[in-house]
Amino acid sequence: MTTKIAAAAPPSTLSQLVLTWVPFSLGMTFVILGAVIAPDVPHARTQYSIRLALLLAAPALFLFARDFRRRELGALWKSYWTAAFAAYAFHLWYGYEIMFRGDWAAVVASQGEATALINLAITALWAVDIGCAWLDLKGRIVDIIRAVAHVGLLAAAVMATMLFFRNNIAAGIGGIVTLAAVAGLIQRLRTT
Amino acid sequence: MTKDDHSCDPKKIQITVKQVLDQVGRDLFDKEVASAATYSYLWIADQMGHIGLGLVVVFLASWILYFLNLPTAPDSYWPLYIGAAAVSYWEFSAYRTYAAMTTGLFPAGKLLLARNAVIAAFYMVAGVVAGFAWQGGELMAAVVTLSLVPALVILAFPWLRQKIVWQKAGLPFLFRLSNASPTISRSDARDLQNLIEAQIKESRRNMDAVPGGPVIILSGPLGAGKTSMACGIGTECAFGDVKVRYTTFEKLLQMAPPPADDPGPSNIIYWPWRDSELLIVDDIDTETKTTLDVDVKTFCDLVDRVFGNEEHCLGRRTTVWVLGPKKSADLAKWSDAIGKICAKGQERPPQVLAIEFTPPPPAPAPIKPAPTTPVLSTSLVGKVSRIAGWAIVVLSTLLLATSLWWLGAERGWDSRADLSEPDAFRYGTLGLELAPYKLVAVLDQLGGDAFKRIPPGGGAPMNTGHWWSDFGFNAGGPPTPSKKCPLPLGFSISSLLPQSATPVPVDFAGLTCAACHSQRVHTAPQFGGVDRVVVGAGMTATDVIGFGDALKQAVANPALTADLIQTTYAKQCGESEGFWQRVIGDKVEAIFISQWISGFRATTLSDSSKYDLPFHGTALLEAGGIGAGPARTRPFRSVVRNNLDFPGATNLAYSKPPAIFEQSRDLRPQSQYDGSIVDTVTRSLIAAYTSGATQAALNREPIAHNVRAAAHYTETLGPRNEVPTFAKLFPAVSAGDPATLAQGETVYMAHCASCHGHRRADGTWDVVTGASAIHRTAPLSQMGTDPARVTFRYAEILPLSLWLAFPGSPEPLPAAQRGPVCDGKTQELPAGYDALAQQRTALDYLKVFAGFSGDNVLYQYWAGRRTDDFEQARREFPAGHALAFGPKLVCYDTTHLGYYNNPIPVAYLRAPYLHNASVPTMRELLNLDERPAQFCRGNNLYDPVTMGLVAETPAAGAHCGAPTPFLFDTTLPGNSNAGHDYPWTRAQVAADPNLKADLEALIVYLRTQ
Repeated sequence: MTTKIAAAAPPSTLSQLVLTWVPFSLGMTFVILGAVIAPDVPHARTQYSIRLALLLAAPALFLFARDFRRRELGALWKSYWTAAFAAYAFHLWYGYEIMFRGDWAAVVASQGEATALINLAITALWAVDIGCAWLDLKGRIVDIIRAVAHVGLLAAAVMATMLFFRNNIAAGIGGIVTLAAVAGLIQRLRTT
Repeated sequence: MTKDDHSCDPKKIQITVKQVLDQVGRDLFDKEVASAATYSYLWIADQMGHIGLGLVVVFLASWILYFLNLPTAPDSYWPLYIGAAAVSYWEFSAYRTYAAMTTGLFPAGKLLLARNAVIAAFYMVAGVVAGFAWQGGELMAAVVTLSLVPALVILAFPWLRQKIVWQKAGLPFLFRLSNASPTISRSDARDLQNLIEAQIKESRRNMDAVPGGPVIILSGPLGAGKTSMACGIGTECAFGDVKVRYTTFEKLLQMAPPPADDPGPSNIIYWPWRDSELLIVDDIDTETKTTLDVDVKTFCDLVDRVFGNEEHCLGRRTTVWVLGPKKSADLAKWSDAIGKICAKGQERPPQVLAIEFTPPPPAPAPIKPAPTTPVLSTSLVGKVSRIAGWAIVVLSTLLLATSLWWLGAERGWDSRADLSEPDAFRYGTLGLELAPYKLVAVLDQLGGDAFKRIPPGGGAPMNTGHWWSDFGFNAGGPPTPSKKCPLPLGFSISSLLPQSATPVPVDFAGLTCAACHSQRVHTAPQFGGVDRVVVGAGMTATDVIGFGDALKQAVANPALTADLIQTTYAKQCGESEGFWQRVIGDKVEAIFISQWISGFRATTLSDSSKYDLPFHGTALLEAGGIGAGPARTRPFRSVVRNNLDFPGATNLAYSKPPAIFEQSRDLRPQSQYDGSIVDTVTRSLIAAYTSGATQAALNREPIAHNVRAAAHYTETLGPRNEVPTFAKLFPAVSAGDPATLAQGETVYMAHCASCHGHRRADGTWDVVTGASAIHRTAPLSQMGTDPARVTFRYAEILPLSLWLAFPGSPEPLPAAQRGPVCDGKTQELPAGYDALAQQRTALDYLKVFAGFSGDNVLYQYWAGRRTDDFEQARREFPAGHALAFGPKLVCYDTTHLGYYNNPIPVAYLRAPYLHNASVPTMRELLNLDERPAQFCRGNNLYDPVTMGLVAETPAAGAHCGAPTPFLFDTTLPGNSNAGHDYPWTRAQVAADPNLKADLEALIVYLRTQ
């Protein structure tokens, strides 16, 4: 049995920008400027940026769950996946440089070595996957990296949701991310 | 007409360096509105653009890194790496796009495309390198740029030569065969490719051009791609260094008689067709059924007639003939005829390749318009949607750009983290920003009734000319080079938001260490009229709490607006300077000030339900009001409020801010009156925290730096550096004769040195000789002084609660650490010590303690809210709070309540005496004089003879007036002036004149301490 890979209809440049660039830009504006009125700005920016990253990753996870190895993931997936990574990169940079004062040992001590390394691995895979997407690289290894990056992010989001379940916003965003992936899977199964 | 005639034989391309340079010169000099465009010029412009793009990219990368507070040029190579990667990716993408555009009919020719992408990337990277170097100083810029130029020029030469070769062919446009539409058969394409390769190979192999060559005939209808194919053949051959010439049939006929030729534009000069190795003849037969049309017989007659003896020249080279559409039989006739023409005068007949083009695919049918109304509305909606969509994209991009700019600009607005120790003490922000600078600067105008200091008994309000001197602040505030209205000493001017200490483009005023720890010493004329501010001495006139309450009242005035503040400031202190500051800066400032006013009012209101309404007017100066009066604070009311979040209203632990001279740990192992804090930095941290600085603010590096620097400043500050000695400050007052001094020293050593040590002759402080009781807690029962300072509610839980407010580092200690702690012992923290785990254990202890004591509410407090607070703080400061302190650096010993015996350097600047400032003079403290039960406090004069403040006692029933409007009543709770009856009680002194003489001598001696 062969898998038929069909190209997804590419959205127009404008609709792609409105769907991905606009939420990213507005989200980052909120992350940077909206946090100015927070009692602890570094903490707020770190917190807001991970929430933005997960919200932007949700559509990408949906598209991934629905289309991966069925058809081209498409420009929309690439845009969401990249925008989410950009927000995540801001989260990492701000968290590491400002919150942890650039002290890797403190990161390890605070999160535990395993968690810190897993987070680092997911970040690296995510970055490599985005590089592959933009260079239009394909192949088995790319597929593996892509799958691990997506599943890793989803798992991290679910774990974080459980950890911060008492925080309604964190729980809500974790729920959205999970639902997005589940919805993608359901749609995948329905169109089999 | 002979094969021996070589006058029209093809010739090899010969282009010298000079010719290339001449072409470059012409290209650079030409005006594009007055001369033909050339490919060589286009290539030069292209590479200049690539260099420019590289410059833009590297500068952009540098700026973004700078804004993000990351290492950037010239210190870091990251802009170089990022720029090089970005432009390389750009060219790689372009290569991929063009490589993907091949139709498959002909080979892709990727090698040339790749070389082109590489050279473009090289020029862009050169721009990146140059841009990076230009950020690193003039020398680096010059060296790198000059090094790049030769490489760029050398690399340009072969490409410029190629462009010249191509443009001299006279081809109407550049076309690569790999992009040709599939309108010819694959076999024809293959044959054509073989012929082209053979032509190129032959041209490269031979030193001289070889006469003769195949005949290629292209035939097909309009739009089938014949001319493109002809140009493609010409382009491929020209890129293969074959001398190509393109012309139309009509033009060829005109150029038939030698030496006629069409040289083309003067800045190009086409190859003469007679020299060409490949001749392309276009538009032979248009098949338009007009007079322009020719049939095969007419064509042959024309060529024969026009070329005559020159006809053999056509066959001396490879030729391409472009015909209109022919039926197969007709095309065969044409091929035969052209073949014969080209065979004339040749040794053997040429190979003829006739290629027939198929008609181009029909254009797609136009889309039928939909019914009128929906189309119009859909079109309108679509247009509006598109416009709205782009507007949103542009707007969001602008917002993002503004945000990123803001993020970078925050560094510029942030306070310096390198203030010197004295400056950090005097002017450095401690995260105690109170109000916009502009408001504080014009409180004389906008403070209203809230800032009028009216004595309780009525009479004229205090009026020293400034609100700040009315409240006891002193001149000598922060340097304000661009600010025209100065603030008093004890204020900082920073661009940090109150509470969060976030950098913003608006100045705020806040309190510094010097607000409470500086003293104006001013005397009556008979003592020399001294008037000097001594930094480090405790304040004697400043009403800090009163100022805070007055500010709350003033801001609550509904008439106070950002516009009023800005307008008043502009009138009093001058307009804003600079166009952008006026156009944008003032608007942004107005937004922040408005928000601050709203927030401040809301906080005042919400706080009042728990902390009670702030006082104002006369109540600021009444014992029944705030109660502290000038020069005293209620630090534990504040710490109970800020740390425990309880009201603290019943806390009467009035304290004067102490003199903070010579606070080094060897002299003063424990700070505070009760010795409850060990480390000076922790002491300063808690002082700032108690005064209202948030944990988040104190975690910011500029503020943490100021706390540390100010703390260190106090360790050495004293008469050995900048603090004036008694003799220096009061030269008009006798220093005492040697006999009196010796007598005083004897008394001191006998009765004071055991608890306070003494100053040696060399100026250092001795805490060993005779100091048997120093660095110990003198029990309350022994001291007899007011107990409120050490017995207030919650005192026993505050140390641990304060410790928990500043989560420690999550990193276990790498090695054991030893250090003194507040019980006088030395503590050893083992390697692997986990501060966070210890703090969690402390939380558990507090819960258990509350449970055992049966305080269910307190248990819930620790188990619920404070546990949540701790976990939240741990998340906010995941690397540990910048000023987190170790265990047992703050403590409270319920078994040894009392006051801690410490040195008393610069004793004369410690008036009024006792921790609650209840004894105005040294004479009264030593019981030489009766301690007054009531006295007036405010801006009191200093009396060097009594070594204290001139504090009048009002007549019975009378009130205190300006400038000392506060009635200090020692009979009120927290104000007791009892205790510390050393060396002798008042009764003993009164009864024994010898003791009086000893004490008189002691006072003289104390002036030297």
